[in-house]
Amino acid sequence: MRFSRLPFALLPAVLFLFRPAPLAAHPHAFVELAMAVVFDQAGLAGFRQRWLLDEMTTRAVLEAAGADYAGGLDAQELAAIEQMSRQNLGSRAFFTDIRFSGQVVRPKELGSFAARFKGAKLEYEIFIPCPVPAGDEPREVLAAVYDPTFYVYVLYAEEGKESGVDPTADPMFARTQAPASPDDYKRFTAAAGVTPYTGAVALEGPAELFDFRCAVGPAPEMTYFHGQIVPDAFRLTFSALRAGR
Amino acid sequence: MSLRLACAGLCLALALSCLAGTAEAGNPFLTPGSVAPAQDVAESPSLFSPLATVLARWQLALRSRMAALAHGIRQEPWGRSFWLFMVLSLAYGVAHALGPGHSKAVAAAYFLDRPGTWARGLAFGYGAMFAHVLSAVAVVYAGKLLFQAAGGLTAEDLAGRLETVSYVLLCLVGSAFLVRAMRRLLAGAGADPVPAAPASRRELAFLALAAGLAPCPGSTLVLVFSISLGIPAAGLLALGSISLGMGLTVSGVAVATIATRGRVLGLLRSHGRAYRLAHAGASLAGALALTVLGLLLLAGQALA
Repeated sequence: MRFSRLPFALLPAVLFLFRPAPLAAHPHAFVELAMAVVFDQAGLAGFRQRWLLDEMTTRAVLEAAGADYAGGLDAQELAAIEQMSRQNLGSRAFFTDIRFSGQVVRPKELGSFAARFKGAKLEYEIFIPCPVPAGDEPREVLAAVYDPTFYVYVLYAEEGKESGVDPTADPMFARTQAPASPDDYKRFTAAAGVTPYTGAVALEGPAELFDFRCAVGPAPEMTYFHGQIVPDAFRLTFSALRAGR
Repeated sequence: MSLRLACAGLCLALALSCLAGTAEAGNPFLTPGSVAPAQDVAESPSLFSPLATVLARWQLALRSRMAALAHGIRQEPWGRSFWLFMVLSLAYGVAHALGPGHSKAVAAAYFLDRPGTWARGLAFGYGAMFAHVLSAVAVVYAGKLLFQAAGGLTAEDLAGRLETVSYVLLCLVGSAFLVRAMRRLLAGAGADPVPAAPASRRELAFLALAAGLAPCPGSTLVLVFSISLGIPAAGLLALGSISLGMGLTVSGVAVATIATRGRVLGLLRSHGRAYRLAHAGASLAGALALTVLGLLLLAGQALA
């Protein structure tokens, strides 16, 4: 190839690369998440999660699944949403990052999935199995739910309570022509009024069989989005109850 | 390589990029994806998993230290923190390029196919890594202006399209080399092989550009972080340091390949048939590896 011609050969590619395309500032979607730690007779069984999607995302999911708002979700619509969610969110481990003794534990499969309407929003209820039997020595499990790409912002909320955070208070949330920017997280949390989770940790199953501690707090080891976001994680330490205690 | 062949490759790149652009790019609710890379590293059953984990930890440790120093640079722009930041950026570049990608396989495949010199190995390594880092700078900086001018692309979209073009060009170059290696083999059948010409400067420059066109994710990360802290100049200088470090690693691979190729062929020079076979085998293997690498990268991108 004569290299004097190279710029001309590359021109179509350059023009194409910079053609108009859809875009939105991060985050693009918002999920309020209530998570419960589930025990069984052996120890930790997993995590039950309730996701409440924002209205824009709800509409997008319904449209993609060929569903509508009329009269709730019928069996066919529910099956379409479940299939789409298992495939798309499942391939991302439902954004659930679990660490056991510092090692990543990836859920092999989703325990259960259900979807329903809550007002104008879609609500998913899922169970992420994470069986860790209790031993004599304390075991630590760290679990957080976040989208590493910051496309979705996941906010923890207490079961049965809505956080009151309105993602659309951030003017960029709905502006599809706004470019992504390094200060997205700072801007979004300030505008939407996002604050650290201070609620209680919900427990299910025979938790009384174990000696445990669980708290929600920042997990620096899970920092994501260019090192800017430190997610809150459920830090659970548990062991078998010793006789006589 | 003919102009027609180059144009055909670019058209293919456009077609693939166009297909990628029609998807609802990135919405996790609507498109399949994968878990975070850090999780993959920890879970990967691959033979290289322990090495990948060690490299990931080194990079994490270096980035953490660099993040702390970056805050120091805000207090004293040209103080001790700045210089340490530059040194750690160099080390980060070396470690980062040891990980997957970063043109090491391209360097090895190319110099397996073609005889080279130490200088050309260094030129390729540093050329490709400067292009790799410049591409990252373009995605972070120019991207914002282009988004507004062109109606908008996400940085991820832009990076993805540059990657597609880069991978298609690698396929194209690999295919051209493969055809040439086959021709040489056929022309030299039963006699001395037609020797491969040494890598020309233009060819090297083109290949380095093709290999480095995909933006470096590590550099993007460091630059975005620096901009968010209000120290963009330090971030850009750190990227220069990172490219020097990455260039060291990639050049090392290139020079090692050149030396190995030369040594093996030199040892076999007096063994007529073995020499011919080794010569043809090296050229074919290099060209084939380059083509397959480009195809695998394209396939990986399509499946992601």
